[in-house]
Amino acid sequence: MTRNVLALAMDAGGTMTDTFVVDTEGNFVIGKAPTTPWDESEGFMESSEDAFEQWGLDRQKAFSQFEVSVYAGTTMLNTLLTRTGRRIGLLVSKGFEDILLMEQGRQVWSGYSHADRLHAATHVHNDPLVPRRRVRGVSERTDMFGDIVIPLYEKDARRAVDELLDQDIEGIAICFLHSYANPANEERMEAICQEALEKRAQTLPIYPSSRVRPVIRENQRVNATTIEAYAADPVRQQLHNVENRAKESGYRKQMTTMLSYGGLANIRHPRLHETLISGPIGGILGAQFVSQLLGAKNVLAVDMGGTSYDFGLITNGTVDLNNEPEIARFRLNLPSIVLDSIRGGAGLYLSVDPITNRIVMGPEGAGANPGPVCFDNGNLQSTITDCLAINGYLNKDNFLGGKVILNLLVAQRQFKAQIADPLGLEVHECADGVIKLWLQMAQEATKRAIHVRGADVADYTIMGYGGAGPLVLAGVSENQPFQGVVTFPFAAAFSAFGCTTTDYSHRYTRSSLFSIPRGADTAAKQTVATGLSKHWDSLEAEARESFQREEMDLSQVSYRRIAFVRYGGQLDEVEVPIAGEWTTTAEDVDRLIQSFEDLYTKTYAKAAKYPKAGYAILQVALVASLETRKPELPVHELQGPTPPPEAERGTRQLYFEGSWQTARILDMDTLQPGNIIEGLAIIEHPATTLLVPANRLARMDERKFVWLENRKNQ
Amino acid sequence: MCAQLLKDSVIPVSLNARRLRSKHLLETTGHYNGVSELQLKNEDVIRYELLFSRLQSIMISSQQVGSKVACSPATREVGESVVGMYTPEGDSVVFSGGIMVHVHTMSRFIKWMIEHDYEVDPGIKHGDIFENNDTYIGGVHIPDVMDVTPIIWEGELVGWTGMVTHVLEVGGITPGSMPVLASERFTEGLIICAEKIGENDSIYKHYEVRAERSVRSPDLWILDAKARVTGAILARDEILSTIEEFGIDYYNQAVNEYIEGARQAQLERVKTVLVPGVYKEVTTSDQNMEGQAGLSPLADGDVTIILPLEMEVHGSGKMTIDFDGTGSWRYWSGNATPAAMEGGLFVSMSQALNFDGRINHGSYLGTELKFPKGTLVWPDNKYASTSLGWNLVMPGWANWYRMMARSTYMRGFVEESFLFGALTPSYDAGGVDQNGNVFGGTNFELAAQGSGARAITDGIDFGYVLWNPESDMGNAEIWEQLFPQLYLGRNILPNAHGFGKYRGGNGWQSLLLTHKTNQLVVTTELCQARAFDHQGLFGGYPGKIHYVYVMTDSDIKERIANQDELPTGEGDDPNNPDFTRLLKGKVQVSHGNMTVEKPMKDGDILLMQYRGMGGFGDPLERDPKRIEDDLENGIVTTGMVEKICGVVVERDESENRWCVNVEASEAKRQALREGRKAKAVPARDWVKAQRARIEKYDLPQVVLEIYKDVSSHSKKWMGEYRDFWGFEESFTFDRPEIRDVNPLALRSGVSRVADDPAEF
Repeated sequence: MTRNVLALAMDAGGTMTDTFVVDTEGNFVIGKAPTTPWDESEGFMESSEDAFEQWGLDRQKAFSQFEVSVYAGTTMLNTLLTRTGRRIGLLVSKGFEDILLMEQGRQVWSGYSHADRLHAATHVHNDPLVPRRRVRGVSERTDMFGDIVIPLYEKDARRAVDELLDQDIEGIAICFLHSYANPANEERMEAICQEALEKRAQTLPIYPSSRVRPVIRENQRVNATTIEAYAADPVRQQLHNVENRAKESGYRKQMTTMLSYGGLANIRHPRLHETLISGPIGGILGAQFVSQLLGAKNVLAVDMGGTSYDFGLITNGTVDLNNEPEIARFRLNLPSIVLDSIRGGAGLYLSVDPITNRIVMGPEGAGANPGPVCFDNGNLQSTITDCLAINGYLNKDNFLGGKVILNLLVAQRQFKAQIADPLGLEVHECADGVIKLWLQMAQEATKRAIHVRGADVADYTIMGYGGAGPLVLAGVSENQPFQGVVTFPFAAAFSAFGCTTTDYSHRYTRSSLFSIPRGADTAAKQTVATGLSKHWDSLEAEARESFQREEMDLSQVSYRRIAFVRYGGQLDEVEVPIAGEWTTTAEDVDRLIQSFEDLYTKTYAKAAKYPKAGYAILQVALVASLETRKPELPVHELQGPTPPPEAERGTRQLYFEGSWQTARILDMDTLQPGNIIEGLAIIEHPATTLLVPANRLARMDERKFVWLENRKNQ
Repeated sequence: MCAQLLKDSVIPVSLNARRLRSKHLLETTGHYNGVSELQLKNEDVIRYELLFSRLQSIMISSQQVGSKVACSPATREVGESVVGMYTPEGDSVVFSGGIMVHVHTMSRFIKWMIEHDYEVDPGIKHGDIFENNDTYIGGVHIPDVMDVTPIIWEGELVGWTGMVTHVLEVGGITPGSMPVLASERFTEGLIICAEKIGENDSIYKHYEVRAERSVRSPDLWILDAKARVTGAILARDEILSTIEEFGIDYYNQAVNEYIEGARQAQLERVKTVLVPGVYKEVTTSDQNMEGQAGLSPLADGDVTIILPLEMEVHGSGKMTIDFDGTGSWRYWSGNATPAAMEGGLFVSMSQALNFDGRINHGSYLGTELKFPKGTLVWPDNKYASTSLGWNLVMPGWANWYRMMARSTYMRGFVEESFLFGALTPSYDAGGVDQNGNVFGGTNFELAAQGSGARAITDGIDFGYVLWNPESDMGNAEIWEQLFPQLYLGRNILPNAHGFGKYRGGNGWQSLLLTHKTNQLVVTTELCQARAFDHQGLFGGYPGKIHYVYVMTDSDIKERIANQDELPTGEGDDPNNPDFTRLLKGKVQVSHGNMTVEKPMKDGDILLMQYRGMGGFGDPLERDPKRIEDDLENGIVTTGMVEKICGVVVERDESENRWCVNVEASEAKRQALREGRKAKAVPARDWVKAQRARIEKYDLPQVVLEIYKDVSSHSKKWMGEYRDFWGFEESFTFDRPEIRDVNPLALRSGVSRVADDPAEF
């Protein structure tokens, strides 16, 4: 059979590089290989080769057919975590030379568990990306209005640059106060850097914060700017290696990567720190794509891994963005798809507090190496995975497709001694309880994510993916009125799949200064409307220039305008997309305010409304998008409810809901659309496991999506 | 058991009757509400934990959502809030993170309403909102405003939820939230005394009208109120759903068990990590404001106090903490109420003992706090100002932290031996802002200073305050939106920490140029003038003394025009600060709390310093590598480490850095040790010499006044004083020539538990 492939997406995680290849018919194949951090192109080739082999494809031919290739890696994150980035210098407003050493106080406890946040004796600073000796202050000051109060001291500036250049640096970051409001001093500083470099016949990248991230809050801005300067080059190098290897194999286009706010960008994108959270958000984008197919407006996407439990929301078809995410203990002002994460992965360590005799989960976990006790790889501290193993949830002989044989004896012995005996419980009963507690923790976190957005669980469909996502799907959705509960045969590579479903898009933000006082008249609103239009027009020009540089078809680009609105004086804002046409009139501003009020009231209590304070718009944004060709997930003819005999894999004893029960075992890949499997059953896939509890059934639909539904007689 | 009692009641039980019965059950059975066994936990530990983690999750999410409504950087930027859940009687069960002192002060507020029959008038129903910032009802100082709402299940009140935020402008005698000039409550600002401020989940219009006309920045006040109400209502609604799922009987009993469980855990934890016995610590606190404009004729401008603390750790795990030895309340801003001091216990225990997030009223019940009425920690005059109640809470609990550091160290938990913190200086400002509007506010960048040292490593630099472990200073660009000031510097203050084998966390400074206004009033508070409450331990030094500089009529604009060098702070030499070396102008230097003489104008400058804390162990034992790192980062200067740490520092020109000559340093350290020996006198000789001075009352006047005052409150203190120095019973400080600092204060003579709301 002749097969034409369409897209290749790759998610290089901390341990494994997943490949998702989709053909023009919508069929897909998953490839896997270990991630190779020293040169990610090796893992890239091996993982894609693994996928091609399964379809018997010729590498050269496959690469020459791809319309899109998306590569989402972890190089940038690893570069930050291992502090192995570029040797850079930093120029700041004089008096702020200690900004990285002092860092914003919250970074001292950022990433800690609730208990350790209280336990101040454990708090420690991050190692700064730029040591104090490579930071120089330059006399200059711009105020919040953008007025220059202290003009740049050029003599100071020249001396500072020279002192940095003398230290053999590989790049220069510049972050002056309020440069988002007026970049003049930073721009002049950049010019002085260039002059100094020319004098030395040297070239170095220069990163002014007003270009990298022109948004208020200097601590977050300096983080984004230094991360760009520190880690972008190694990432770019890796991405070029990947692209080169692909091109050597016949790929004709440019490699793209994923931006934290959910668009694809050419690997030559000037702000690569925007790829800092790229891989995991592929899952959310995949869920968004699937939700459109299903006509589900609201979706909760959950990904249970070994270390963390990640989840994100799609509400009214759109993903939420967080403007101040914390990544690797750095707080940034980088719009990112909200991917909440708790330390709740299946690898969490378990213990019993010797004083209170209460169960403690985490906060640390066993990770992939040495892994849980049942991996028999040196760890003797019980984990959640051990509970799953000793209670029969996992196939001891077919874990990760048989790559790991689980040692249940040692897992049970350790769990009994460490957890069950101190609590006075029988081992399996205790493991059952721990699993319940763990699932509730995950369920609580997901409910919280919905509630803090002022929404209701009953309006959402939950999608589970990732290695352990399908396993916890039943538990996380238990007794919750979700509209639907669904997972996929390709759950294990869902994030990579998601990368093939998104558009090529860039997001541009700019600080603004508009206030709409209470009782503002038409003229005042007209001024705001005109000002907003001016900002958006300028952002659109910037977008056009960028798309042109990336050789994109400008006639196909669409633009979405956004205003960030708040009540006068508030510090948090609501992202308000402009619905309908913007005609630059006072009426447009009225509509904008009404949209803000609607969104605000949905999120907060009615007592929180305060129109008396008037409104302020301190940031605007524009999203420019170019549609890409998406995979088509084929619709199959429905077969009968009974699975084919070859899907049956016998039975296994499972300790579930307080007793040993016999569970049917089935093979996911062999199931047919239309098949219905009543619980208690376990549907296995080499890379994941779906649990169907006794009170539920699993139904494979015409797209081969698997739905967990309540059994009618239960 | 209690749930059963309630069920069996034929006549509806009033909340006050429930409160009294709960108290009685504790006294007679020794257990919270008579719950001697954790039945639900024993029957099904998983379900028990499921409900607890659900409740905790609700608190955290409600705090997150509520905080987003606020316009105060304190709430939004630096996390100055907390959400808590309470029993019908007002006992705390579970809370979010944040300013945990108010887990307890909110409890006091609820109990006060119950005691004062709010059930009858104004009545308590679903959707009602009650607010308080009266510190004698429950609170530390009036900017800590709290809102609570009842949880009503099928017509019965089954609990409360509430949220607290620190509001940045309260309408006091000077702008901001902590007016240092307030000596009576009448000049503190807008006080809401346990008032019903709304119903049906909405705030009354007249409440907003009053705020608009009573404080300088009404938006800060009103949006914070909306944030608190949002947090409390969200939490209430989620708890109601949870009750539906678990059943009301299970919920009621579980709540009792969570409190009793925390009480038992508290006793066990103390038994595990502390050494039984009696601990004593003392610290000092002061204010030096005599003659400053705006002080009330009643006010004590200069105040110096001692704050002794005694703790007995019993074999049972109970801690008795006694503030006996505290002197009279004063007409100054720094009085505290028992509620505030008890709140201090909460925030301290949640960091030093019960950091598993399960601290609640039960932990408090495992401890006994005693206060002498009539003193600074329990004024018998409800009008005495508590505007800066933290002026006592922080040094008072710094005593306890030192006790904990000693005790955990002795018990072998060295990694828990931590000096935490002490007073955290700050400034308030107001007048007319850069937009031409009247404004006021506290710059809450104070919320991240240096911590004390740890027994195994240095303290936390620029990232800790004892009243909120989730510390943060926020962004300068955000503070510049609120205040008409431009930062000329925000940087490390060298040598601000206490030296030691492990040094205290270091402090920092902000240099602020008055900008686009000619009317900026600045006051500073929570500063120490001449006293040290940030002591070190086991030979560690206290932190640096605190200075505030104000310069008016400066030549800064001229210097900017000429592109001359500008200062960014104090610089390396406090004896010749950069600030005054580089700029000309009229300088006001203060050692502590102060007000500016006249409103500051465009171009005037404030230098604010945030403290470092005490060190641990002898600085002569400090690792040279740590000293080199500190030199590299500008945390210490060469002169200071040479003098205090006894090292020889050399410049490595090739590497462009300072290095410690280890060999030469060893010799120097040995010589310094010899020098110490040579200077030392036998303790008995020193005691003899000092006794001779005391016998002749040859002590500074201020010390004699303190001793006279304290001895008039506590026979125990005077007895111990006489015993220590070997004086007869006839020795007394009650002499006419020594001034009475406050003859009006009640001399109750004993310290006791202060938990009866009827007394407040």
